Amino acid sequence: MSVVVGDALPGVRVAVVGADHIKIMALILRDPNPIHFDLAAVTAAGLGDREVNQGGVTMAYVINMLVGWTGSRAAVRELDCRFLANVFAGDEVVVGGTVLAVHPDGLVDCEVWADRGDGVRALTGRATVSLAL
Amino acid sequence: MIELAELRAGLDGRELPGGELAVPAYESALADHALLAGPAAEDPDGAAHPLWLLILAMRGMGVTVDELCALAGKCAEDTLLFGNCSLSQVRPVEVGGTYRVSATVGPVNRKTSRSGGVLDIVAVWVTIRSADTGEPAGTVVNEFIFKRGAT
Repeated sequence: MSVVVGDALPGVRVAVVGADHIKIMALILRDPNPIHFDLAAVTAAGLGDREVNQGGVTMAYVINMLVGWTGSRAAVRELDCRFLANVFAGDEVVVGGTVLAVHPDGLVDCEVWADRGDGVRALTGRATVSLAL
Repeated sequence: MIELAELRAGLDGRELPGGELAVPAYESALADHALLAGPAAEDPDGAAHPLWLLILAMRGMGVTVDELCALAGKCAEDTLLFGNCSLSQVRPVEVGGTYRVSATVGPVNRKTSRSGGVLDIVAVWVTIRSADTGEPAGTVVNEFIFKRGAT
């Protein structure tokens, strides 16, 4: 694969974040925070009326993009994400990225992000993947 | 509100109990489904989703998030935010593998938000190794932000 600085990564679109998926991940993560499964708790926390996606799950959408691009889960070496806004059940999420640096050993540094369908940036970060596998 | 010196004395450098846990095939499959990822069988190495580093870190650090909140002196008026997460994957997590998790807290920092509020930032460093071979799978650094209330 030929990659140069400035290349856009092939983005990923999550059409709808599923409430059931959020609940499954609450179980997998052993995360007892009710904002992920109890709408009364979401409302009480002042977060609206939809389940809140786990930040790590939004991060996983970025990983999915990187895996789809490189063709391998092992190729994802580093991912550093800052969470900027909540993603809710029913939201659309669009994930993208840009190549920042290409190293001789096949490692590629990228800027990555995840935006909600309403344009709010939910996550921004940096990733390093290997294209030398 | 807890004083920064007290917060640091209780948390900075504190080693958490850690733990040992497995990545069962059925949980890997359920996670792949919920994360909208392809199944592990489609990966060239049959590896688990890289997010399993975070899952292992959260489940294996040896304290629950609620317990971490108690250690950080979180009051009802305070809000816990997941501020930052850094994953470093050394080798892919194996479906069916068993992993040993060790975790240390620190650094602990206090900042003032743009609105003048107090934010305590608590980092937890987690190392994940194969329980069978001792080889590293990766590291995770989670930054939890305690947005302190007005009281």
